[in-house]
Order: sequence, then structure tokens, then C-alpha cells
Amino acid sequence: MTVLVVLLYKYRCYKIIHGWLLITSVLLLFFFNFIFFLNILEVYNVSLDWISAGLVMWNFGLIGLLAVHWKGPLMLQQIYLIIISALLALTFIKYLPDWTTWFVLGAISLWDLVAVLCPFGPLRILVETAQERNEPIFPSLIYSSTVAWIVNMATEDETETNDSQNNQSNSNTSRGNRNRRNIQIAAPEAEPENADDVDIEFSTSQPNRHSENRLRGINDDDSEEREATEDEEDDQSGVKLGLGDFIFYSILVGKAASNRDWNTTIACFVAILIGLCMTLLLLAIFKRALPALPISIAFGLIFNFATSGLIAPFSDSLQSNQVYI
Amino acid sequence: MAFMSWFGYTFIAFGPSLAIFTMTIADDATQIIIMFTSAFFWLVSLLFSSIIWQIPFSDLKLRLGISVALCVAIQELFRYLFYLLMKKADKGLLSITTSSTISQTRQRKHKIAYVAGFGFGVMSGAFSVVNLLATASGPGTVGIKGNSDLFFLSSAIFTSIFILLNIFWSVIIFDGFDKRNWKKIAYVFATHELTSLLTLVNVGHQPNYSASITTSCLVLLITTIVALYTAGGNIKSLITSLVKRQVVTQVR
Repeated sequence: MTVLVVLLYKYRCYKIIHGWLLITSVLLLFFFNFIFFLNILEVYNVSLDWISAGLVMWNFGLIGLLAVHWKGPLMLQQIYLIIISALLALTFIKYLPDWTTWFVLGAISLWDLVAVLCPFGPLRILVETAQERNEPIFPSLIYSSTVAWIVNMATEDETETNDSQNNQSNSNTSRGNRNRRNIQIAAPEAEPENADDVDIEFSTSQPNRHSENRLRGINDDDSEEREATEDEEDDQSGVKLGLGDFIFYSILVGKAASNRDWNTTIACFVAILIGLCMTLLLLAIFKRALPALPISIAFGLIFNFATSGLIAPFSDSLQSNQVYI
Repeated sequence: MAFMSWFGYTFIAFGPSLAIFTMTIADDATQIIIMFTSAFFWLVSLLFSSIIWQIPFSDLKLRLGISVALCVAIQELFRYLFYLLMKKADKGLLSITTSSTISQTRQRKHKIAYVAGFGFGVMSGAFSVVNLLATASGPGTVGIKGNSDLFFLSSAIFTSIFILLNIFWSVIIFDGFDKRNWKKIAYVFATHELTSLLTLVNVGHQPNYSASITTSCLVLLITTIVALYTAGGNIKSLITSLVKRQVVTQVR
């Protein structure tokens, strides 16, 4: 799947990729969402007529599509990207057997490592092509945070060297970026239906304003619109994380939660966050696209099993005897 | 009823820490990272102590006592390791700090210690009470078989005490490490062992909570005062800072 997308991207078949992404997100936001919505209603024994249910679903899904694929406030976009990942993760947790999930998690983080770091890894090719063309990677595939400080840390000393590479193409568009350069963690693709690829990458690149405009809204030729897009782009600088990562993080935490032991869930959550922090640290050191899954997932898996196997009996007996440490 | 009591227990246990988090920590990304890192350190320390728990002893109290005593030692060891990490990361942290709160240099060390202690405390609090709270929300009656019906209430109170204690211990012990002040380090270690081992009183069918809760509260009070003086304040400055804040809110 990843290879297919990379090939399509390389030969500039944008329409096909966009159509594909659109179909998957329509499926997720309407169909899967509907299934889980029904489930929730069933569990809490709430009755709701079809008309209002349809109305709720329609509005929810449509706003999501608009926010993700066209434009919307960054906050809304982030919310919907998280919802999409959560829905997909829920589907996996629900329909995959236990050991398959654990195996998939391990395999996917290894694949992530290969795809991003090997010279011929598909994701690496994708990010590099995107950089060459000075285009941002599809907005529906990455989650961008507004965190700027880590970017500052990563870039203060190396700005000069990195700049020289992109200088020609970016010299007149650097205003929006001021002194700081963007580190993108882009996860070019997370295809819902076929999870064989996950991707997260960190790339140091500066999204080009004009191509951004092109992607976002083809008709914004008047200056006011352009101003607005520029502001939005400013918002978008910062760390970018692939949606695929979100999905697999949520699968891990969700799997831990299905043990009905809160300690495991908390341990997994903290371990994944720490893994992410370490990845960010490495990002600051290496200053290139990095896979975000391996460290986090490894930590998460270790702490999931260690907590349910070792810590849980200890903390349970401490709790039931009311001994505090 | 169960839901209401769940609500009550939750906010007895985590109310103070929630207030602390939203008022002093939540608005600074660096502090949140420090908090989670220290929480992670606590988790690793718990992992090591749970390995000790695997050693089987016939007597439950003896087994609990030994593992608790060692667990406290391991926790303090990890606090020291976290201190070393913070010392190393200090420069990097300074360079990425955007908010001015943590970079005001004089109080910065104490602030880091405070956030680190908060991470330790919240994590230990979560591990000691969250599963109980999950049970408390469900169906059932507390103490129906002759056990104490104060079980959840006392658990929540203990959790709250231990979260606060962890914050103050960190403030004191980080200062102790900094100035090689063995008295402070010894004080923290001793009180931590004391309060933890005292909760062994709770083990049993009908425990008498008044003894353990009173001593823990007493230790908390003393530790608070020591931490206050360690951070360079005194009771007068505490009162004036409270009063000043009131004036500020009135003006606004």
C-alpha cells in the first residue's frame, strides 16, 4: 500500500490519491462512526429516532470532511483527525484477535523503521519527493501541532546549514517562517483499510506557501484569502505527526484498557508519551524525518506486559491492604 | 449513590493535585514534560520493586513490610537518578523554555523539584487508588462482610496525603542533593519509610485508621514547613503572598 501511494505520488497522480483518501475518510466518518454510534446507544439503552440520528451523523461527518480535506480551524481539524484515528483504532481492537494485534504492533514498528530510514524505504522517498517539490504532504494524513519551542531548539544552531539547501526555492517565501524552520513529522499515509503501513516521519522542510495555496484552495487568488492562508500556515508550522502513529498508539492503549486494569492503561499511556519525547529528542539531534513508532511502541509493549504481569499483583495487594508507598 | 460516592472519593484523592496542576503546571509545556518524565521514573521504580514482591514469604505482613521498605528505598534512588537527569538536562531545558515562569532563575531549581515531585506523587496516587475508584463506581456495598466501611474514604485520604508528601519530599531532597546537605536527604528518606511502614497498620480485618492517618497528617504538616523553609520562604512570606494574590484578583 505504501509503495502504491509513493508511486502514485511520484508520478503526480494527485487526483487518485485524493480520491482514495476521501473515500476512506467518508467510510470512517459515516459508516464506522454510525456503527459505533449505534453501539453506544445500545449500551446505554437510549432510544433515538432515525431522523435525528441521521441528522447528527450527517452534520458530524460533513463538518469532518470539510475540516480535514478542505479547510477549517486548526483546532477542528485536529479534533477530527484524532476522531478518525480513534475510530480506526476501535475497529482494530474490536475485530482483531489478541495476538494478531500484538504482532501487528510489533511488525508495524519494525516496518516503520525500515520505511523511514532505509535509503529505498517508501516513506523516505515520499518525504524527499515532497521536499524536492516543496509541497506539504496531504493534510489528511498528518497531525500538526502548534508547538514551536522544540523546533527552536532543534534549529537554532543548524539553521544556516539547512537553509543553504533550500535557499533558492525559499528565499522569497521565508517571511512566514521567520527565523525558525519547520520540522515536520509527517506521516504521509495512514490508510484505514489496509494497515500495512504506518508512517511517521520527521522531516526538516519548509512548506512552500504557494503550493500550500494550491493544495488548499485553488481559487484563492485575491490577496485577502492569501493572507488568511498564510496565517494558517504559520499555525501549521511545528511538529507533525503521522496519523498512523496516532492509530497505533491508540490501539496499544485501547488494548491495555481492555484488560479492565486501570494501572496498565496509565502505565502504557505514560510509556508511550515518554517514547514520543525521546523521539522528539532524537529529532532534535538528527534533524531529519524519523519514525515515531518504534521507541514508543516498544516502551508501551514492555510496560503493558510488565504491568499486567509484575506490577499488577503487587499494587493490587498494596491497594487491598491499604499500604501506601 | 455509588456514583456520588465515586465523585466524592475521586475529588478527595485528586482534588488538591488537580488544583495544583491547573494553577501552576498546566500552562507550561516544559513542566508537563518534566512531570511525565518523573512519572515514568516512578513507574520504573515500581517495576523494580514489584520484582522484589515476587519473592515469596509465608507471612503476608512480613512480605508486605519487606517489599514496602525496599520499594521506598528504590523510589528514593530513582528520585536521585531523576535529579541527576535534571541536572544534565538543565541547559537544554533552559534553551527550549518559552514561558518566563520557569526561567526566573532563583526559584527555578525548586520549581523543577516541585514539578518532579508532583509527577512522582500523581503517578503513585494513581497506581494506589484508581482501580479502587473504578470498583467504587460499580454496584456493591462497602463493608458488608464486616470489613471497615471507611475503606474507600481512608484510601482516598491517604492518596491525597501521599501526593502532597511526594511534592514536598522532592523539593527538600533536591535541595539536599544540591547542597550536599545530608540532614535533608536523611529526613526525607526517614519520613518516607516511616509513613509508608506506618500504613502497614491498616492491614487486617478491622483496621484503626485514626492512628495512621493522624501520624501521616502530622508528618505532612512538618514536611510542608520544612519544604517551605527549604524553598526560601517563611510563614510571613507565605501569608503575604496569599494576601497579595487576593489584592491582585480584586484589582482585576
